[in-house]
Amino acid sequence: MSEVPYYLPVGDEKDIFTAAWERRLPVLLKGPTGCGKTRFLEHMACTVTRSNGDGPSIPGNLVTVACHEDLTGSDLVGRYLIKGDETVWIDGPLTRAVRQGAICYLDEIVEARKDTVVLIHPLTDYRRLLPVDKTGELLEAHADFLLVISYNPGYQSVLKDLKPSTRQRFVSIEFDYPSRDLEAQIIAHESGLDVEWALRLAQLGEKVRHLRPSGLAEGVSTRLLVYAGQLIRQGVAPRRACAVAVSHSLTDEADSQRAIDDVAAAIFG
Amino acid sequence: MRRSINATTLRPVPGLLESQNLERWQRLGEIVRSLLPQPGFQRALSEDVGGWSVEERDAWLDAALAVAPRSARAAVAVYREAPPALRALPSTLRGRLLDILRLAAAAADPVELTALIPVLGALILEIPITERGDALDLALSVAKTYPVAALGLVRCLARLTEEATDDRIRLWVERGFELAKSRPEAARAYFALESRTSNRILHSSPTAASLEEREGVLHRYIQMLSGVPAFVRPGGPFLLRPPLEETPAAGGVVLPATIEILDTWEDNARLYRVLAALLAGRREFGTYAAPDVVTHIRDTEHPAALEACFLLADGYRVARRLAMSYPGLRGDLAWAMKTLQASWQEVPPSMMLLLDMLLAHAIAPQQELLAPWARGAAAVVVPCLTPLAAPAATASDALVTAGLLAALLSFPASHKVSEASLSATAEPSLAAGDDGPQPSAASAEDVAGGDARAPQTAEDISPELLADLQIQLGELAERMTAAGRPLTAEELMRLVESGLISQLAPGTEATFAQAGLYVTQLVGKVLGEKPLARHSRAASSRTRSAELAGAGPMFLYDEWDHVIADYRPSWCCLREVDITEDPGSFFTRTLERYAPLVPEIRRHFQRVRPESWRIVRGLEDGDDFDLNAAIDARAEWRARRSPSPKLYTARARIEREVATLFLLDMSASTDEAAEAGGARRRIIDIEKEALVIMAAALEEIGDMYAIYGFSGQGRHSVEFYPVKTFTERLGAGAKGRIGGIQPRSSTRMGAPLRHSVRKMANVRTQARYLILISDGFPQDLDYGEDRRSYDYGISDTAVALREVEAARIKPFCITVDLAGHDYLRQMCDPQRYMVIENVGDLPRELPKIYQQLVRAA
Repeated sequence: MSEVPYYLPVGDEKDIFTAAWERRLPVLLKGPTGCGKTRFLEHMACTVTRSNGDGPSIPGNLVTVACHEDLTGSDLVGRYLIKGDETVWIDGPLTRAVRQGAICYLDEIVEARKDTVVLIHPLTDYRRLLPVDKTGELLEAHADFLLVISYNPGYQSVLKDLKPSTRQRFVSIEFDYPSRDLEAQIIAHESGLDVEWALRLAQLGEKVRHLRPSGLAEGVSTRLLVYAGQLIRQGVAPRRACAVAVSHSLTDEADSQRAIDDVAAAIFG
Repeated sequence: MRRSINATTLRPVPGLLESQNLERWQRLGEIVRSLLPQPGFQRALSEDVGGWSVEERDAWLDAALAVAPRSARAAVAVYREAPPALRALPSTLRGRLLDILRLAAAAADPVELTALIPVLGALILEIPITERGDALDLALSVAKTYPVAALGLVRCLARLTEEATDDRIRLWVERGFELAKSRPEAARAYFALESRTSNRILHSSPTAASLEEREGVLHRYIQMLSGVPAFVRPGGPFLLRPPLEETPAAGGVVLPATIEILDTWEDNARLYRVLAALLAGRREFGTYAAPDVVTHIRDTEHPAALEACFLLADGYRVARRLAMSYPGLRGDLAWAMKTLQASWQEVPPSMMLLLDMLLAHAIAPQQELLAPWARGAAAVVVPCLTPLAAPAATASDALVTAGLLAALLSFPASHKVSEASLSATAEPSLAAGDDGPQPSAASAEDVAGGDARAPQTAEDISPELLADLQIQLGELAERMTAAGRPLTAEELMRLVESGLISQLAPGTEATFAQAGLYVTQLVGKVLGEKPLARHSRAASSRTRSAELAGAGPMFLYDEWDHVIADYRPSWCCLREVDITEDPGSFFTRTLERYAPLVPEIRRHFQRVRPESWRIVRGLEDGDDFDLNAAIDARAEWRARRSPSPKLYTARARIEREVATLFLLDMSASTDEAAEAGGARRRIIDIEKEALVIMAAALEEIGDMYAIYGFSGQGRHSVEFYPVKTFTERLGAGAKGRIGGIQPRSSTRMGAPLRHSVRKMANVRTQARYLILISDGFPQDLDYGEDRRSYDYGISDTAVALREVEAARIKPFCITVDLAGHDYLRQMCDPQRYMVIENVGDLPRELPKIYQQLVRAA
């Protein structure tokens, strides 16, 4: 990453992460979808100072893994692959990060199977070790290795939730959608819209989130509002942009869609 | 033995009754003498009947005689209370109404008749004056054919004229006659607008927008704009200045059932949106933020006048804030105000119309649309409203302005009004308060002309007159002084012309150093003289508000009436009520009591085959190869490592997609003790134990579940108790609420079942269940008209259960009532219920029932 990704702080999340980084404490990012967790981490990966004094952003210092229910231990740690007549060991993303001293980001960790998740336990306590059974190694993590996980609390079933033994290995930073003014700044920056239009989109976001008690559990994400802004910047009419980027993306329920479209009409005219 | 009427007895009677009425009168006296013996019967003869025709007296006495055999009390009510109730009606209307009464009395429910008599005249006066005759002709035509339906129709005549056009009403009556031919028992509900079919026929129109079709959108719209959960219910006609809500914290918003003011459906639907935005704006911009505002209005000497003006002032404030905050709404508001003003051009003047017109004009000034008779008032009122456009203006500021307007817009006693306008009792005037008819249908000249002694030019306003005026400065005026401006002499002249300025009290000490009077410093006498005192009525109103506010949102549900074979729309009012939690001790004690049972149940549950298939990878045995794992194994073998044996996949029902709502009957009968485990324990406690065990087991296997209770008393007060929602974990709160479940009142099942469907609407699992746990049949104090019959409750519950199934939720009823078979087989299929003969077995049986239910699906 040659350029520091844009991130506008909402609270003290940057200070907390920096402090955790200094001590290499594993971090858990919690928040609804599209509220900036990944962007925050990308930003911080480019701003933290490494142990050798290197400044921001070295290539590959952030390794991201999108977790899913078929994710196995091999997918994280590594596997032998056949290359021609040879059998070679290929490090998985977690092993790579451990060796190189990168930040390993396991996104939506609850989607992964529990027998996969427990692999990270030795890395997240004082040991900072990664056992690689297939090669017989016991890797000690690089001084600059940091494990970050994320998940969306929302509704999680018993089967898809972090075990207490996993949760209690991380420092938690909670995210939520920013206030109207801050969100407008973000939308303006990301989409290129002027502030007045960005404020209207942020106002729409604020209004739609009032439906959270009525079934739209997460409201509209900042990401979707940015998409709407980008569409408007491309010349799409604002109400149409809000329809395709907000109401139709959020819900299939006709009444909710129409109501959101009506609020967009009230805001944009 | 018939009593003879001697001359002494008859002395007050001649002059009031003609001889041909006397026989009826005497007969009535005989019948009701146990309740109203002579001379009381004679003394109760109202002098009003002296002005009636012979035919009218005959009709009145016949009505009393018709109901007398069934209810002497109702006959006395007709005899004694009907004449004064009809006093305000002209003879042209009174005669028809008495004919209706005579036809209806024989078939009417005596209790309903007794309740209706005192308000009979008032019901007719609610109808617009030009439509009263036609409305009564309509009611008479129905009374001749279906006398049982007549009283219900009279009760809703005003609503009919508000909500529908003449053509639509005629069509509605025709359809009502057709329906009643095949189902006479449905006539009464139909003509009283108490059946869904009746409402649908009345409101169906190609251009009318109905609330029913828009409700889902509008309540979300209001909730999004205001940020406060809202639910919408139908009521009243379209009003530009809807009345203030009694309990805004409860979240209810009243919108008209239909809007058919404009020519197209789209325009009428747009009016709904504008009205919804105005009502949401009240919440967003603080109309109800200061609780004293509404209370104070109701506490004043002329609450109607002050509220009407407050609705104007605050309506303007809210509209301006909406226009500022929502650029898109600016256009809608302007369109609505101009369109409404155009539609009012032919409407006769009245005070209420004046206020609406002033509001519309203030929001969207369009001089050519302003009726000439309203221009004088507009010139004075609109400047008073202008400061409320400031972003900092609050509801309290609007109240100050309302006080001023209430004084400015009153009708001075010196005004001459025509006899016609005196008899045209359309709306009460603002200054005179709530009692009695007032001359409000004034002509343009009456409003703008004023006192004959009023000065004709600005120079005519003498310094002495100015010196006589006293300005009482309200403490809130400071907020508005920044926007204030002095009244010019011309404006003062207009005030005097209209007679308005004479309403300000003469001063004692105040003198004026300056020529002008600041509009913003004019605080009317109304506010100045009434301290913000707390009255008991206000206190009880606040208490009720607080109670309802703490009770959570309210919902209206239709109810099935098997007699009319139709739904009664919005018949039941259901509230969600919080349960007081216990410290969790009940939950803990139950787990201890059933310590051996709970693990056993968990093991059984884990063997229950789940609902859906998914591919499971990484197995040592299965239906197919896991190709990825096989390749890895091959590579590891080549690397001389031991490959993993987990090379197979299988289709297995591991993932459970089951959601169950447990609905618990919390009626008073559950307080009874039953034999359980060698001891007598309350049924409710045994049911709670069953829920504890279920919850503990379900937590283990991860099925989604929710627990709710229900009870209530009467259709207006159905109560629904959230114990644990689907998204909530079984934490201290949910455990405490299970422990806090207590017996309540009655068992009205239909509305809670329908509300449960609403609760499950967003649950997107493949299998959804509703398990109803009860100890008896559906029973409530007003469950149907025949209080001795349980058929109404049973049939409504049966229909509600079918609605549950139609929503793709599988219902199952469990009862501990040994007689449960008798009514459960009427309510549902035999496979959909179970009778637990020994209530003590419920904790053990409920998990088994659940297991079988889920497995059988």
